[in-house]
Amino acid sequence: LPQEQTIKKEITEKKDGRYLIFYSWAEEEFHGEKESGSEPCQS
Amino acid sequence: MSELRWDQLRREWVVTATHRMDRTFLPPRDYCPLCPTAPGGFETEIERTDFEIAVFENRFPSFHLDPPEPAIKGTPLFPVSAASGVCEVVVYTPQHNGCLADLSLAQMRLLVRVWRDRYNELSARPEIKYVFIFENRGSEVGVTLHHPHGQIYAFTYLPPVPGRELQAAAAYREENKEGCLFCSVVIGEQQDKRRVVLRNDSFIAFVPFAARYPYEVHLYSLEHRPSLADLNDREMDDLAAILQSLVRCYDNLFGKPFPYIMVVHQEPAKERNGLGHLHFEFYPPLRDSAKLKYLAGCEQGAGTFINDSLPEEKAAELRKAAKVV
Repeated sequence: LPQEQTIKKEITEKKDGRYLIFYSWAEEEFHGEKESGSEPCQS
Repeated sequence: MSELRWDQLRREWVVTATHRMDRTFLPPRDYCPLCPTAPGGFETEIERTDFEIAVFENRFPSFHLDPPEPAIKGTPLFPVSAASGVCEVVVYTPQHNGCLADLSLAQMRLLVRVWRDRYNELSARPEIKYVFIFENRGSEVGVTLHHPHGQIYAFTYLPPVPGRELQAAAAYREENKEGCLFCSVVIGEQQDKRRVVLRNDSFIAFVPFAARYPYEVHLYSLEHRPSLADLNDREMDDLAAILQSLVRCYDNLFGKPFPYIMVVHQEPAKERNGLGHLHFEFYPPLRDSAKLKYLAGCEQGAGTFINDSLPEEKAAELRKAAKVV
């Protein structure tokens, strides 16, 4: 399996008390793009 | 006002949420509440100039962490309950224009992990019984904000549609000595092949045998994975890849944005008995490039869908659209 890919999570509170959470990648290396991992069925 | 009213005849809850009548409706681009707040500009829900993915409590929720008193007192014949639960908005990107299909694969992979984190966190709340992830795309299905986003409803009860699936799975397990109904469907679709649209190492997408909408597609984990929490990193990446391929295939089908309702069914929050099987269901309202499939008398009043097409032919159309994405 590939190396564990972790995300960053920052929990904040809005002025009216509702929560607002920001998510991002923890590691820059996981931002890499890949064309596609799915193939149409050949049937 | 917000409350649950029990429909004795259908044996299901109905939510009344009168405050939602006033929710933001198709605002102009400069007043989109899901965009990052621009310096000196309109104060949006997200007071940052940039972000990757943001999740917040819905300002106009159907369910509340601290629910108001019901507007009416219940009786044994007309039960009423507080509308407890959580409603979240998941903003996929700071970019106002675009859709799920426009996300990069890295962003899609992050989104899968956000869904998993929300499933885990909301499932851990003592009152929550079911975490329901979904997206409505397009004004054809009633979207009021065009900024790319989805929603999550955390229910204090098991809602009827996934509930019926789990009942069927329990009966199948009883009759087939520990077998999984969902796994059997996945194996059956792989063997038949005619309705399969896409697949990769971990997931398969097919038009279901008894599709109710012409371009309905279900997306399943090939291995038995009860929920997003049970996926490993490779499987999450494979889910992101096949989701991206599917929504791009949809947009390619008619060469224009393709409306859909996307829902995620998985194991309930508290009944971790392996009965559930993670899958996505897409219900597109179009029956061709310009015509809508309406839920009319037979669908609404009798509960029987009439599909004007053959699932095998629609799967072939979608495979063709997928090949030229």
